[in-house]
Amino acid sequence: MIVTQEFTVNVDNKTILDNINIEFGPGIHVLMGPNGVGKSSFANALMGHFNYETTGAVEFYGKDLLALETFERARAGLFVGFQSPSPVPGLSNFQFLKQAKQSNGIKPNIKDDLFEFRALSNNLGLGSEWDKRQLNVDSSGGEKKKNELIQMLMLDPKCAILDEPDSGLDVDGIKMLTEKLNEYIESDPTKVLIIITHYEKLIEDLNVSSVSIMKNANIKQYEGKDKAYQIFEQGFIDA
Amino acid sequence: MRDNSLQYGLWELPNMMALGIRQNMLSKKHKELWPSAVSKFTESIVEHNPLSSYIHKNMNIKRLSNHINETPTHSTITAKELKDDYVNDWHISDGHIQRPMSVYPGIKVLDQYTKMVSLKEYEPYFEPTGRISDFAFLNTTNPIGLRFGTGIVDTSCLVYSEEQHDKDLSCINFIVDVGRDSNITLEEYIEPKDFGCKIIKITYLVRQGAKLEILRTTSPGKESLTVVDSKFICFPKSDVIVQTKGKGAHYAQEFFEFDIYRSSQVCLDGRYNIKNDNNNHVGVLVNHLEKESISDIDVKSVVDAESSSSFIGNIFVDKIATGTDARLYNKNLLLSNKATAISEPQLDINTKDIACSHGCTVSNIDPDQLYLLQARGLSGQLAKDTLKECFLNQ
Repeated sequence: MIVTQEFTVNVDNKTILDNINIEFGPGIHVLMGPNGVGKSSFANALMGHFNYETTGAVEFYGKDLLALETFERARAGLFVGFQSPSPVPGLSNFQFLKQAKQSNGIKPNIKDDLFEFRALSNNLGLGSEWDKRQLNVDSSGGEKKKNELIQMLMLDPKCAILDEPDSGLDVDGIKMLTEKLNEYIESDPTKVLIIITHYEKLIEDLNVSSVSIMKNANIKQYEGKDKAYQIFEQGFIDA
Repeated sequence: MRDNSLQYGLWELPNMMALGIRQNMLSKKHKELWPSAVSKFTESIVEHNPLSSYIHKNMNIKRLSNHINETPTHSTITAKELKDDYVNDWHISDGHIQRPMSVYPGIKVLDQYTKMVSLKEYEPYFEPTGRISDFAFLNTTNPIGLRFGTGIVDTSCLVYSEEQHDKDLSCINFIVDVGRDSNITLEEYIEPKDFGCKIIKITYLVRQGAKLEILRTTSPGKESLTVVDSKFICFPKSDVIVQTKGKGAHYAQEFFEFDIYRSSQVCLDGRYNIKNDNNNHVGVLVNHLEKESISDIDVKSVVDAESSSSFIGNIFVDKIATGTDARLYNKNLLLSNKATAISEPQLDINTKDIACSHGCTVSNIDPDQLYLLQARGLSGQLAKDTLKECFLNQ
């Protein structure tokens, strides 16, 4: 459960989000909006990115999210799947995940974790050596998205915000993504999944609770996924 | 004088040598060499004249020259605690080498007591360089060393430690002679004097077709000053790999000079993690003297808190050294606004048909990388430490 009250986000003296009051309850939510409107900024501001100044309040499963440091937000159960995560030379994918799990208080079991990691990466077509590959180094857009998905599935957060998880994925990748997202949300009825996407097929294949449209520093929320289909037909101009 | 002990700075060593208070057998034997060494030392250390020795110009030499040594008295000598594996290692101190329990038959000790192997043949390699390590020649009790015979495969552990704790200057002049077609791995541990100054000069002769791998760790000391100068003579078709790591010290200086002959190759990986107000200074001179040799120098430092680091490196390619392939890189990661890193890689090319590259970087932690790690739950400090390790392990 994530609830914002008068949530305002500024970056370089520019207001990206102005007094947002919105609630994302358990289930899958879609966030849409024209390019450059601030959808990624919304996700990053919630995660505590250093570039963003925030005011107002965000309640996250009963906690005051804005009072927490970035790592504390992650440990509280918030996960952001980034659009273009930074490469970290010298850090392997599995080493990173192992550290993340430990930091999140998940008891490490290297053998089982590695088995699960390899099963997931093979499943997503990332190859048998993916655990040893350096984090986001020389990875394609699709590989980065799949790696973010593996992190999400293995860290199993309460709330995940995925920023265009479908971009760069091929047909099989999209199919696998849909399957994994459905598995994730069905594993716990209290989980929240917010997906930033423009991809019709993805929305079609997911059990979407609401569609939110971000425009002019504001967000409007609509129940169900009909609004998304309207957007696909008419665009954002009249949204 | 205090309690019968003699206190002295490095700048007083030339006078002490003139008075015969500190001397070794080689300095008596090769008197013609030493005035030059003393005068270069005096200019760079005593008079702080950077032009006299450009390799010292970015190094915090004042920490070294301001240090006061103290000769031990009976009341100030305390023995060092011996570690469990003491008997398995070679122990090297000022003028003295102690054998491990078992020694491979093809390894000979070089010292003044062993008549079978003469130190005399190594004397041509002891010419003064103008570097601080000249004082290791001048002030060590005796030069010492190890000779590995032809075609030997061996791994040895060398511990450069003193048997007593004292504040006196320790100088070691050590020779490692690796015989033809041998394959030798040396694990080297440089142990500082906790409150004292130690100058170590090591000359490695890597004979034709031999391979020498050095895994060196220099321990930090609270108030220690440690200078390690390693000179490598790489005979044709030889192969030298050096991996060295350290954490700096009150004053730490590690210097490498490689003379590379035909079809030889050299690889140096230096990794330094410098904290507190420690200093660490690295100098690398690579001399490609003949055809078709390869060098790959990669030195990285993480510089934290109020520490400081300097790197000066030079690749020299002789006019006959065609086919040279050389790389010289120095990267520094600054973790604090008060930390400093100076980097100067240089090339001195005197022929065509070669491939040489050099570069340096001084950067801070990438905030986006830091954010990514924190967004997965790593605390600020753990994320920083992780990125630091990544930088050094790359």
